[in-house]
Amino acid sequence: MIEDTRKGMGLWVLAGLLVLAILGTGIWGAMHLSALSTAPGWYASMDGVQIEPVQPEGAEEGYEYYRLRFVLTNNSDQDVYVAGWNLGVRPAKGHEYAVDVWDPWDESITLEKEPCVPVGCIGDVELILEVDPEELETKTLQITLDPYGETPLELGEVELP
Amino acid sequence: MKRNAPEYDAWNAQMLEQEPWQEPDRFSGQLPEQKSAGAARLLPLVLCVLLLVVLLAEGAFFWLRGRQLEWRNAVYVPDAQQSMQQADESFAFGPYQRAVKVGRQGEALGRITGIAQGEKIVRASVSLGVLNEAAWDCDGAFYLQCGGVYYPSLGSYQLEQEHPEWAMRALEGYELCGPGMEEGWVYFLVPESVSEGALWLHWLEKNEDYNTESVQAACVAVQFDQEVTGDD
Repeated sequence: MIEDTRKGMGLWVLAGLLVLAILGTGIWGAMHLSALSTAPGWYASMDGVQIEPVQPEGAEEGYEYYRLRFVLTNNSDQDVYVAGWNLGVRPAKGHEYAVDVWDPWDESITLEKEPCVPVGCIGDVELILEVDPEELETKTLQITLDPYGETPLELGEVELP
Repeated sequence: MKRNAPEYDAWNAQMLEQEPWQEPDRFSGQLPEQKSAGAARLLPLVLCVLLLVVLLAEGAFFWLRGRQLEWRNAVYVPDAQQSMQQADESFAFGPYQRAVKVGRQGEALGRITGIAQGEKIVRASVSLGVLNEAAWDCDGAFYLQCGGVYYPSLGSYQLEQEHPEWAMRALEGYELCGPGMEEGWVYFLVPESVSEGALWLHWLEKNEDYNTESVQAACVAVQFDQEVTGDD
């Protein structure tokens, strides 16, 4: 009698989890489709990648900083902005946030410089990377075109010096 | 004893029907409860199967629809068709051959509040000839190229917080496709070291989904070595 009840309960719990999974998939899917319906398709390529260590003003202790440069060809439907929210850099393995595009926050700045590579153009990209050496498990970094909420496009890899 | 004989015979008959190795069914009294427990398990089991089917169908729908949208969005834009033009001279721009004139001498407006150290605002004068009606199949944009870096123009909404008087005469990219004559300044936020650059006018041709299909671009060299203070 006790065993029968437990078996029935297990199935009800499973049914509840399935309902949650359906709801979660529905919400994720709606957000994904919404992002895709407004997002452009990305066609971009990267050439001439260079990376060198730097020590920028305002650097924090415990981090290493690198200047990443490359030439980007943009054949996408939209401009590619040279900023952390548009271009992503992450280690090939290890903690994703061991590498970040450095962008020191200053609340007094209301008007920000926004270099970009326009549609149909070839432009220079320069980013300062902030690296946490303790979290980094590899010297290989992946560079992606990674607009928020959209499908990322991998541009290539670079080795830290 | 005789009176009970029929019951005794019936019991014997039951025992004879049973195979000799079978135990007597002492739990036959619980059979309805077992049936009830089985039925109680059947309902959530059927529900689980149905929910699993719904989950799989939902996942398949989102995956297929996502692939369809990705395919639809993937618009390849060929390299911009670029032309070099002279400053202070009128030239025909875009598919509607709109007359455009860019002043060679731009102005450096220096630092304003709200921008970072080492940056400044510059502006270039642009005159747009008459276009009889708005071109709906296009969008426009201004960029300033300094070295290999492009800076998009500042919109009037970006300027009006600190300098509303600049915002009033700021030309925006979409006005390249608008009707009527236009004359004004195109503003850029650039590094302080910039003293010259290439002003780019982009005409973005749109398809029926309003995706950019091609770009026509004209470039004019502009200088910003003249520093201006004041409101205009």
